[in-house]
Amino acid sequence: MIPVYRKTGGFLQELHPVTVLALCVSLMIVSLISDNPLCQVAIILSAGLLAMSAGVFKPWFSWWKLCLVIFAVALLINPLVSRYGATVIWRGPSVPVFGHLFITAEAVAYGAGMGLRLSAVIWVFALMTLTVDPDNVLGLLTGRGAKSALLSALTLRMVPTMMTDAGDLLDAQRSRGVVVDQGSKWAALKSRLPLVKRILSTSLDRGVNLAEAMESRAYGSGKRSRYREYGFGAGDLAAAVITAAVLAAGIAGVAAGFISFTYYPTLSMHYEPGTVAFVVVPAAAACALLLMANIWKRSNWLRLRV
Amino acid sequence: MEEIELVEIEGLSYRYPGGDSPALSDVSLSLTPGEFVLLVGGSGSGKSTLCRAVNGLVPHFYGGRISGTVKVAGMDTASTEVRDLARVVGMVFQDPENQLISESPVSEIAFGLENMGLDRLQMLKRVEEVLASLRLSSLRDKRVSELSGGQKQKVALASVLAMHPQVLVLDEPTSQLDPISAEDFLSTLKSLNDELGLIVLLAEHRVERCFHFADRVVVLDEGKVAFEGGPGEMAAWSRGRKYILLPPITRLFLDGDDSEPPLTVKAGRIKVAALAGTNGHVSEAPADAAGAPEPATRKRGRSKGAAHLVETRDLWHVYGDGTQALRGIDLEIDAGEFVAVIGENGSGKTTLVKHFNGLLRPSKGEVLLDGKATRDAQVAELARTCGMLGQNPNTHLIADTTASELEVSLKAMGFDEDLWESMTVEALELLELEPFRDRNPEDLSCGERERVALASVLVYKPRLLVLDEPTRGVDVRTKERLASYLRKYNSEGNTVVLVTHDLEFAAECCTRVLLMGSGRVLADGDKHKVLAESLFFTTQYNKCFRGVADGVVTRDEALRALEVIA
Repeated sequence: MIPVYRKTGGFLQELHPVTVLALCVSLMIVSLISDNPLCQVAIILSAGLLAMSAGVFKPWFSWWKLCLVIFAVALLINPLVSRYGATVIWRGPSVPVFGHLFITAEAVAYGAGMGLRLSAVIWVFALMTLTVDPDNVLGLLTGRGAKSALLSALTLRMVPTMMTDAGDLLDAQRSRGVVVDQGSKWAALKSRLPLVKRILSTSLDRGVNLAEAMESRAYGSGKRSRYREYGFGAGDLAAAVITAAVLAAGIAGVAAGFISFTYYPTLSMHYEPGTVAFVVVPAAAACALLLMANIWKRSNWLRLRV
Repeated sequence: MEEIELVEIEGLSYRYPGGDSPALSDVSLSLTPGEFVLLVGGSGSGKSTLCRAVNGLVPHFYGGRISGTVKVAGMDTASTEVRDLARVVGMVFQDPENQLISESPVSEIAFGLENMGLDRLQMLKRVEEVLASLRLSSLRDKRVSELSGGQKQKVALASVLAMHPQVLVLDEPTSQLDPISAEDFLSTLKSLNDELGLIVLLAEHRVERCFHFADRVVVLDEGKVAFEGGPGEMAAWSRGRKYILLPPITRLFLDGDDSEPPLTVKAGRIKVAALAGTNGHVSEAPADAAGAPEPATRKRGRSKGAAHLVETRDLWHVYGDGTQALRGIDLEIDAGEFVAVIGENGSGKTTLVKHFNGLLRPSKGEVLLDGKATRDAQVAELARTCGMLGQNPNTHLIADTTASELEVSLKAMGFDEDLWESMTVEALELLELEPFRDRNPEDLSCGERERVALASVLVYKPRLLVLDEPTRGVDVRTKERLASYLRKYNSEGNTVVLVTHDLEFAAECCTRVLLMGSGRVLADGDKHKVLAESLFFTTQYNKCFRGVADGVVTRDEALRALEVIA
């Protein structure tokens, strides 16, 4: 089961949703523009530290299986399909379409680097999922966006219910000996059709009931007011500074070549005096936020002001 | 001083689009401020339609043909939009899953207020007020999907209350809740009625939970008002009728020719104590208490070497989130037994029975069905011995006609096609479903669908029949029918296991009761022993006769005890 947003009252969860979204997006951008595996490790580390500051480290870490699978797939696939790299470490037989098979050290490293990058993006996404309340993000939208937001909120509510309905339906059919997904693909598809029909009709019934409930609570009366109001505070300012620092360090580091890394034709990493500084910026920023979150947690004075 | 009528219904008749017969016929009713009105009647009697007519969903949302008038606070519902009526009439529906819009309880409560366009300060005040008054403050930071059914229904009530309605309409709000949550919900409702003077119009099947709260009871039958009056008058009116919509204890004294039957367990207990005070304590066990063997006796009665029909050995089950649902269950169920599994929500009842047919596999320990371990067997294979009907009968129904629904089961079980017709006819006859043979199950009433789902399992005659909450949301007539089918099926040598919160139903049908709590079996044995020894998990009869007549748990036993002490 994929962990979803739970209110923990942690520092990040108390910030404006846009601030946290911006911070997560900045980490994702740096991960996507940088080829340097050290940068990817720094971003994963930062995401972990930020998850700690939000009090969601355990559910955040529970995504490790998905990340490991993604990493392993990238590591295995790339060397098999890549024809680049100068250091051949294995030569295989000649096969139709692919020609002579060979694996290069650079292709293995590139696979590992891409796996690490994908994992970093997933870890940051996990952080975003666990720290940003989807209701708050949707609540920011106005006008036509508000209607779409309501539709999205309803969909978010109904998807788990629909999945439960589907599970109950399958259990009920299995309980009376009906076997689905057996035989040819066509037979399996045919055996599922009545179930799909039932799920759809149940969902439609739920939709009608929901519409009834909404109308009974004055939906459509006129201009809606907004319960939640979001203000930017000192904590948001600190997070915004950190977001800017991460983004600036990433872009400047790549542009100036401080954190450049090339895989082909041979592995090469350019060490400059500032390389380490640029790599550690995200982790240092996350450490700063973690420290701030810990002080914030313990200091009533700070809690009232940030 | 003349009372002001806030809701006035005059000669209301209504027919749904495409409906064969009117859902409501010439209904006239008025509600005055501060009244608690209980609306009762069988399935399809028009309760839900009348509730929807009060808040304008009928006819605005459903269409159809309407005549007569419904006026709420002077507004004619036919010419006033539902959203405008929503400021006066709040409505809570049956299933909490189908009325909650947001994932956060606070946003949910604020939804109606945002629709009304209130300013933020007013909204804050109202949200905090209802959170506190309904004791929901601790749920503020939870997600709706994390809440129990009772908590969700309370959030639904809070979201309506925040809009400050003058009339509260509730359409079977406790039908999806366990007894403890239901009682909590109804007590909250009563205190709102007492303290705020809100008009409460409550449609309900389980009258024993709320009968004593009502100032007035309205009985609907085939869309018409069959009775309207106080609870005491309703009891007198019910005398001699076949299907009585009264609490068990009231019904008991009514059958005992009491001119003023008690409406609550407390009043019943006082009456019984008064009678016993003059005639003494009845110590003998009720007649049918001796008929049910103790588990030890069952073991001796089983032929040597024969396997139990169900046996669990040190059964543990841990769900993916780490919840230990079962903790070392050792259990034996023999052929021909009728067992009720009772206990609060989350006690492990459903998890336990889902192991019988392999829907769940043991995390530790073993489950044997007819001597064979379920761990490695297919559910389809185990289903031949163990037929199971889940909480929602709709999940069983996938075919276009009742007959083909039964044939789906027969085909899945691999029966010869030549036998299908005779087996289908037999099952349809047993459950009195012949008139619906060619009807689409989706078009049938809730009680009828429940019977079709039961027929789809009984048609292949499993030796073990497991039913999970079969009486949830069904009317008294359907319940009585169900009890008679199950008794008949059990009398043919089949085993029935019933997971239920309905203790009266369990006591009437079963011989053995299994009380579960925190994933463990807390008590197991003859129903008289288990129910009589339990303080809360027992029937109204037992609560009433406790200390006067030992081991009374069923209606017949209570009647006999009443005869003895009277």
